Amino acid sequence: MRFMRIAGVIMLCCSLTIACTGCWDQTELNRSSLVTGMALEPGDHMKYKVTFEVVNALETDPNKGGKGGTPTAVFSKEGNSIAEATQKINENLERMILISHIRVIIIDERLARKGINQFIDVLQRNRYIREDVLVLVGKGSKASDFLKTVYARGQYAGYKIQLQVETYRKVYGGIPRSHLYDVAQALLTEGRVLLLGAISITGDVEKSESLDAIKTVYPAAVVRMAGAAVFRGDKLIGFLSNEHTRMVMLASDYVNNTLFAIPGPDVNPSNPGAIAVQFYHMHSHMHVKMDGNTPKVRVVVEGDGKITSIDENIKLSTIQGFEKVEAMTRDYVNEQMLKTVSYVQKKFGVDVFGFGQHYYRYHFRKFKPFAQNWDSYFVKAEVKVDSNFTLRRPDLKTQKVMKDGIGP
Amino acid sequence: MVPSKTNAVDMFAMQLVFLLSTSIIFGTPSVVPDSWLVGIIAFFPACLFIVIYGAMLSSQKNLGLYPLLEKAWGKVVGRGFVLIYATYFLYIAARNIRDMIELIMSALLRMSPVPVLTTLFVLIIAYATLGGIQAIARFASLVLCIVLAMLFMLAVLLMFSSSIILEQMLPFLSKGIGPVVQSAFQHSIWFPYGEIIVFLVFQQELGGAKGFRRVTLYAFLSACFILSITDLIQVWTLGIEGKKYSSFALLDAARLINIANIITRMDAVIALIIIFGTLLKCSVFLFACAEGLTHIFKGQQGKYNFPLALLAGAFSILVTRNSAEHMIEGLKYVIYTLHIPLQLVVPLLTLLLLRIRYRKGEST
Repeated sequence: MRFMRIAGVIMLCCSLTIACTGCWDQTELNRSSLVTGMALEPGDHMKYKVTFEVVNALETDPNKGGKGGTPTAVFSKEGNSIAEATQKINENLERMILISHIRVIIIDERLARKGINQFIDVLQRNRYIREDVLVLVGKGSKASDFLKTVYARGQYAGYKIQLQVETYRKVYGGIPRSHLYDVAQALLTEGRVLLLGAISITGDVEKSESLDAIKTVYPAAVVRMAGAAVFRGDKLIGFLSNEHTRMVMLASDYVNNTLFAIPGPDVNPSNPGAIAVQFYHMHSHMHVKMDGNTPKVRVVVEGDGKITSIDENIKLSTIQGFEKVEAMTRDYVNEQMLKTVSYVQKKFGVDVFGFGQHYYRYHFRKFKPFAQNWDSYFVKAEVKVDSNFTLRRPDLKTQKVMKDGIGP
Repeated sequence: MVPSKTNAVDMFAMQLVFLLSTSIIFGTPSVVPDSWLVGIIAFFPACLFIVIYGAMLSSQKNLGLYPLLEKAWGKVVGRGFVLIYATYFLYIAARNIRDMIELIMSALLRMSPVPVLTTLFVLIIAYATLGGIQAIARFASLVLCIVLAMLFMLAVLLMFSSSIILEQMLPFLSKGIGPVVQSAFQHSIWFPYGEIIVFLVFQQELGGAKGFRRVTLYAFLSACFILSITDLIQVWTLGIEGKKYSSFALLDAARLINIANIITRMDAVIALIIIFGTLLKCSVFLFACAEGLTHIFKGQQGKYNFPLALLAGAFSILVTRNSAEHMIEGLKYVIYTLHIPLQLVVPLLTLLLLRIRYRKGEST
């Protein structure tokens, strides 16, 4: 009896060991490759061309270093759907691809102009692609070219772009929220159109594909942030410059940290007397109401910052000095914001700021009659900007270092 | 069986985990925009269950559900009802296993064969039921701690990854209060609150009407609170619009956790919550079913547990062909054909019969 018991326990242990390993879902690390970037563009022969940036893990090891090979390899495949092209990638590649660690998804401008709804579903449905992956629009160049620009750090292009977007947003704010869930959010809610981050390439991509290109001080080609891609519905209609994008994002409370360079008198950048102010904690909120058929919008921008540089001599040891700089900043930001608003109203005629969304969220019943073509009302919107900036400290000098008179 | 009373805290933990387990993911269907309100509204009518079940218990000196049915309906009809209830409990257990398997198949394991997973899982359930309801209750406190800790962690991590945007719960009541109340009465009362009827089976061991009323009320309150909070977290992270299209909204919310690119992909936490919760819930149902069969066929205690568990596992695979069928069946047909009759109509009739047949004072 006792023997039976022991035998039973041993058998149970063995069967559990076998049953609980989950062999069906195993993936060996040395039989699979991480994908860090994905580029979607129209195919030459089929509907889509999907390009994957696959990491060559040995070459990216920071301690041992590589053998001088490339850190990544780029593979393309065409297919009539994104999923098909993805599954067919192994025609060229020997390993299974793991797309869980994908960093960026770059959509070609040509594809975006035709509408992103036709293929975005595969990205949203897939459980391996994270909802906070960056979705960017490649401006001017083929989407796959962005994954081919290597640079001196020896990192993979996808990671470089992701980090660049994050850092740029952190220090300047000239790129919109551009995650996968923002796409769904913008397409689902009312009164706001989709904005995606745009990137472009400066320099020569052909030269940059080789590793020799990164052995120079001056990189042959560099991926740069190019503001925002504006969509109407799911179709790309144009691009906003970095400065306009910053103002749009400032209005929708997505910029925390930025710097304003206020030009000197007469608003001529070449005039002397420019001032730079840096803000660390920026917040904004908006109030929207309808006056008949005209939306009346009041945007309130608040900020907390310091003075980074002044070219003319303003005494920052006096209260008046601070007040003067604050007033100049206020006027400058208000003016820039209004410029951006009227530019967007004239050029695109779609609500990128989310005024409609705000109205939809807070005054749903009043918004309902305007919901159908909010953009036509947005074009007529009267926007008023109230900004309230507090400059706290002048950094280490109380005024510009220059002689006041004779002697100390 | 010797009636020995279970600790009130253990019983509370058991009922709370029972209420939470699958409803955290499937509880309030997103048919209305303000789904978080549904749970709160459903709480008040759900308290009616406590009144009915409490009255049933107290009228007959805390007999369990099965003896009560026999007493009220007579030997033959009563036994028929006992069998129906036993089958009903087994069916719910099978549905819960299926719920869990659906989540695991879409979130964790993709290629593992479903029968293997199900078999392993039901064997654990059967083992858990062998120790009787006390063992399950003691196990429940542990599970409750795990579930609550994980939910709390989830909320904190979401907050720190600045995914919680309160504005997303607006517009409030965009379709009016009507659909919300309707949804509360159509879904949330019956599932999860109504399923508490299964605890009537064990009342001899659990402490009778007085304890039942008090503990269940607390469990309902806590469950209502926790479910509303989790619903709100889903709305705050995914937005009303995004939540609507999500198969597992809480899982989708957990996927948004990203703290400095280090702490990411917390899907496994949700899967763990569901696995633990389902384990407990199915144990309770399976045990209730086994009790029913023992009551009728006078078998040895624990004799039916393993066969029934395997049956539940098989049912869980055979019960529906795909997830849509599973959802529709659960949200529509089961409620009208099973939940409402067996949770409300039969208990009410039983109570009425008990009151008529055994007037006050002559309780034998």
